[in-house]
Amino acid sequence: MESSENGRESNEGISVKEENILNFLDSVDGYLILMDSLSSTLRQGWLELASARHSMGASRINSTLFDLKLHPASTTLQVNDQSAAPDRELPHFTLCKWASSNNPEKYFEEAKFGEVELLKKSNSLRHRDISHNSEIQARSPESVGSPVTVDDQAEKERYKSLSMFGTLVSPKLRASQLSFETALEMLVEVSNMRASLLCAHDQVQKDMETATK
Amino acid sequence: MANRVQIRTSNSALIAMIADEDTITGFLLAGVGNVDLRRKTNYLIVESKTTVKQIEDAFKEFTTREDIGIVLISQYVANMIRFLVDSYNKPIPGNFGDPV
Repeated sequence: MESSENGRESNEGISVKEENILNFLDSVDGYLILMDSLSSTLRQGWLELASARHSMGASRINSTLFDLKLHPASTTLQVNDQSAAPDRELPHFTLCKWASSNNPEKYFEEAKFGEVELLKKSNSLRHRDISHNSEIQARSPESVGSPVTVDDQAEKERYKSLSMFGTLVSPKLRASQLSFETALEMLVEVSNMRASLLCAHDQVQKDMETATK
Repeated sequence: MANRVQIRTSNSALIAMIADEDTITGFLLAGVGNVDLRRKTNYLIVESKTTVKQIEDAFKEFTTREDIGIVLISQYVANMIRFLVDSYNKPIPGNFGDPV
């Protein structure tokens, strides 16, 4: 009976080790695929940036135009709380794109201000063209009721980032912005994948050390 | 993830960058640029006149700052300070090079 129990335990031990090796190989595979995607996305971003520089001129896209006034980053990382999961040693990052740098109350104040401006514009247009304005008047009650959408806020933040290169920018520059946004998402995934890969590697190392003893 | 507005919380962290001008420009367009009260940025543009000492100092600064979660460094720049990068083994900030 004892030998069969020992045999069962050793079989379970072998399957756990094999599982660790498979986890490690899966992590490596996932990491390499992500890095390859990241590489092509970055190349695309660089190419679009070069095209934008070609159409707008080198003097309009260079580091001397970077905003060096006090401003927070719109895109940040959320780091997982280690105290919430103490057995988890891996850092886990989540990307927060185009986060509102203002406090939420100010965000809603801006939204209301936007609606007031829209109303004023619709009133000023009333005297120009009656047929056109009837559509605007029909639309304005809806706009008073509906809040500024999340997409509008993200577009506002995108526009702020683009505006350091001027008001009118090449479509290639906008395309480059989107490519680098995608690259950023991939980078965060790569970072998380790398952490789990290193953890799986450590586990396999430990298994090898216990096997040699 | 796309177009989702997030409200900043206390465990937010920045992404720092040590790379060439084009890479920094691209990621600044993506909104990662940060300038604090002391006019310190979370990036270093590496040009032909940038010294190895400046890159090392930037790497040390970014890896010791508490508000930085990831340090992104170009492969060729990492090769210039290879010893420093390889000897860094803390999980946060995480750092890795550009694949290109």
